[in-house]
Amino acid sequence: MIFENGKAIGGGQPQGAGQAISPEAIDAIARRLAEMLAGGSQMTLTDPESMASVAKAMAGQRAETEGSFKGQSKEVQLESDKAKANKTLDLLKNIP
Amino acid sequence: MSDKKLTPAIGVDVGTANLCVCRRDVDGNFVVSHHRNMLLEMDASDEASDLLARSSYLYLKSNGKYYVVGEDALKLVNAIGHGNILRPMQDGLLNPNLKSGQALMNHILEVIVGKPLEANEPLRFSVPANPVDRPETNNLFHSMILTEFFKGLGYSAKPINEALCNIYNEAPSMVVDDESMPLTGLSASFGAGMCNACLAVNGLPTVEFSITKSGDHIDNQVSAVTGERTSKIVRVKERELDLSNIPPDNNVLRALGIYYDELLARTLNGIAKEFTRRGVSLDGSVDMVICGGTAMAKGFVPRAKMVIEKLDLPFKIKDVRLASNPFYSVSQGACLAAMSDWEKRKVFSLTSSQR
Repeated sequence: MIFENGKAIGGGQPQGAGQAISPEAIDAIARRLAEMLAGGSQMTLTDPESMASVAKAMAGQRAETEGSFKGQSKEVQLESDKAKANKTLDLLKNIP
Repeated sequence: MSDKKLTPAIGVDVGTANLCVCRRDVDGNFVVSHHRNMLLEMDASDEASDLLARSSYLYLKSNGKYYVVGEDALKLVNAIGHGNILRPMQDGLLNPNLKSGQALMNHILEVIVGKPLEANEPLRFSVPANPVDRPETNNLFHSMILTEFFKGLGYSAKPINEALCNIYNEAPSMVVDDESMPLTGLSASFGAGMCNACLAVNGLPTVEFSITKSGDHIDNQVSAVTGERTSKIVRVKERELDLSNIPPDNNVLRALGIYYDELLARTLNGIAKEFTRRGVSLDGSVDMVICGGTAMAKGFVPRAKMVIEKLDLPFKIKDVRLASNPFYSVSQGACLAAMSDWEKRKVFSLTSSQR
């Protein structure tokens, strides 16, 4: 079991297939999201809609480009523990 | 990407110094690629045009300037001995001081991420947690811009905490009363801009935060005390540094050793202080898994262990280890999260069609 400021917020039972996430854990996530949204911002915009529209505009910016850049990043196939990765994928089924 | 067929799910580690992209092929192998998240700006003079035409450097031209991109920017600035490297990101977030930075980074990302394999392919990109030592800063705007950007490329994009990705990739577990709790442990990702920490229980991020001044801070401090360019410091750090064997007659390596010790003491004590402040406790002892480019210096983990042994943490750490692939661990974990999104979508579509 994990506690934050003396209150249990998650853990305790391993979450097997089909097992629901505890309400405490969901509360903890919601609380953190609320903290994130309420936290001080480096932006002067505070209205979420205005912020979203600015974000959309900035995300649409592309450098007007010419040149040789073709993104020749080399791809590498990595040795990996496939069984471990597959087990993680199985566990993630129960996490929203 | 690879010769083998790829599974439609992509993880992107949007780091201050490096952009890493990961997919899995149908055989379950991770296929990764990366670019340094940096540019060298040059005036569009005849000399520059000539140099770039004769070289094999990757570059782009924008608003009357040339920008040499990624690894080539670092190579060129070291070769010509002057010039400033531009960084689209700073301290883990978009660099507010570089006006054209977002547009240029969008271009690099667009090229290395490429088009989705199918419409609305799931994409998870890493974001830092909010820094505890800079409470006026948060990651919300950074996350929103990148979400919109990847959506614009045709992906179904969601942010994911950087240190949590490392948990997914490394899969530590905690044993309590002979019962194993999977995906439970402490992750610390030492990037260029920040150190991100996450304590996960059963795959859920229960506590996450970041501490600023990581690898870039080391480079800048060492540059200031030795008078060498940061691009040279980066090269020495990546090629020569062994924290367990610092030669006394090499000023750059000595300074790197000193500032690595400062980083470890400050961030690890900061992590302990934050967990104590939040009153976190655990029934069992956990593994701590470290990743990130800054942690790849030889001797980093033994040095970290020396600090961790003396920490006053509110829970026990069983073992401290480096991720199996510290440079790509975040992108691999993000890829697994994206694969999980894809699997859930398939299940949802199936159950919806059966109704």
